[in-house]
Amino acid sequence: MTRSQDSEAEFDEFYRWSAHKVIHLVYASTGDLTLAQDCTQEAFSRAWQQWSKVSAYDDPLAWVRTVARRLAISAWRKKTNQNRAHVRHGFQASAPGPSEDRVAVMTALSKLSGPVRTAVTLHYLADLSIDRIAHETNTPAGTIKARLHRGRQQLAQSLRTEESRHE
Amino acid sequence: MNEPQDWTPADDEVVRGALNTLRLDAEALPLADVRFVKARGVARRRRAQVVGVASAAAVVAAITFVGFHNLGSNQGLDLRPAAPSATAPSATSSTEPLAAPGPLLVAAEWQRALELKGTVRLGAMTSGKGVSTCHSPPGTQFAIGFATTASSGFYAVQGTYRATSPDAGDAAAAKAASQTLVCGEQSGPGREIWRVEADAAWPKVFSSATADGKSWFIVAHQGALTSLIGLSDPLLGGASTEAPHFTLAQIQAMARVAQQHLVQEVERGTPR
Repeated sequence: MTRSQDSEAEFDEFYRWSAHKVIHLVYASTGDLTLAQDCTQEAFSRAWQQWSKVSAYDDPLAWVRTVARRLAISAWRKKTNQNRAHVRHGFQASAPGPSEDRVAVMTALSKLSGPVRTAVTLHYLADLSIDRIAHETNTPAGTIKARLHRGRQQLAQSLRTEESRHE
Repeated sequence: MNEPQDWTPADDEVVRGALNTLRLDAEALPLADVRFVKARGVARRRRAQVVGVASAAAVVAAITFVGFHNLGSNQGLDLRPAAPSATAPSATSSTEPLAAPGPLLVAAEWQRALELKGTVRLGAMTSGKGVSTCHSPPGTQFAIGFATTASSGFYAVQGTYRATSPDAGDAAAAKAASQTLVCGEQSGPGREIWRVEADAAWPKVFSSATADGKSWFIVAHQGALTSLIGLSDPLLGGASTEAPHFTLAQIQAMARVAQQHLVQEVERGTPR
């Protein structure tokens, strides 16, 4: 079936506008940039597969974000070799090695449990309210609130500890 | 909602600022070309459509997996043998050594025969799935897998099957070739245009023009073994006219390698 050029252009624009946001979110959730990149691509390709449906949603980005996040969690659990997947997409990561502050952030994030990290990243990077996070993660709002509280407290504490070490 | 007492706006800023440092990493990454992203979806859709479960075989709705995306289009299938029988390659005409023995092509062979760009990834398929919903398995499943390059949307499925004897293998392979024709006939009104030259040589190569380029189907056979391969021209997002198309010579080269594998498997003493 041939898609209309309008639909193609709409998807292309959506991808260019939001792909980095999704990579950022998944990266912060997993600490793995390659995995974030691969899962984001996969999520967008799935969106394209059913674009007529996804584009009709109130927030197509929420759909892509959720798919990318679930893919990342699944890949994480399976401990798949994402570097291989990354290479198969024909481009190499050009990001520089992590600086000291990035290492500190990733270290702090890695101390959080997965669900807590998800709540924190969705709140701070996707600017989602507690209710929206609850909706996207299919978790009671009260639980999200607790996770968010715990997460940012732990993060702030870890980051301040790191800061003081370097002072 | 009540904010916890031990939380301060300063903490909030620390966390937000720290997480935002990761944005630089994310934004430093080059975005994959949107055409590649869409092609990745196309490859998956083909996989889902083509690699039909055996129970769906009765439907025989369309030819191979490559034929599926032509359904519903106004363009009729123009399925014909890729080459006259007189010029059809045989296993003995191939001089390229196999990259590795086995019942299926390996990544290097896909890459070399079809001159594929990008990394070829191979994957196993779960038991119970066939190469297409169109063909009944020509024997017991011996090996089945797919080859793909996500960057170009290339996707191929190969299954090798073993009959109980060489005679049964001959019959099964002939049936697979004829089922290709039947598939064309059953694919709907106005699509009864499958043609194939009668040819005793293996492998047999079939092609079909679709809106996105050509689709290909190969039947290789030796002894009790029969190998079915379905693939289509790589796509770079939808019906891009810029997408590269396989040449007949490339497909024939790949088919010869598939045939060589079977010849070697039989010679190696794989149960015939």
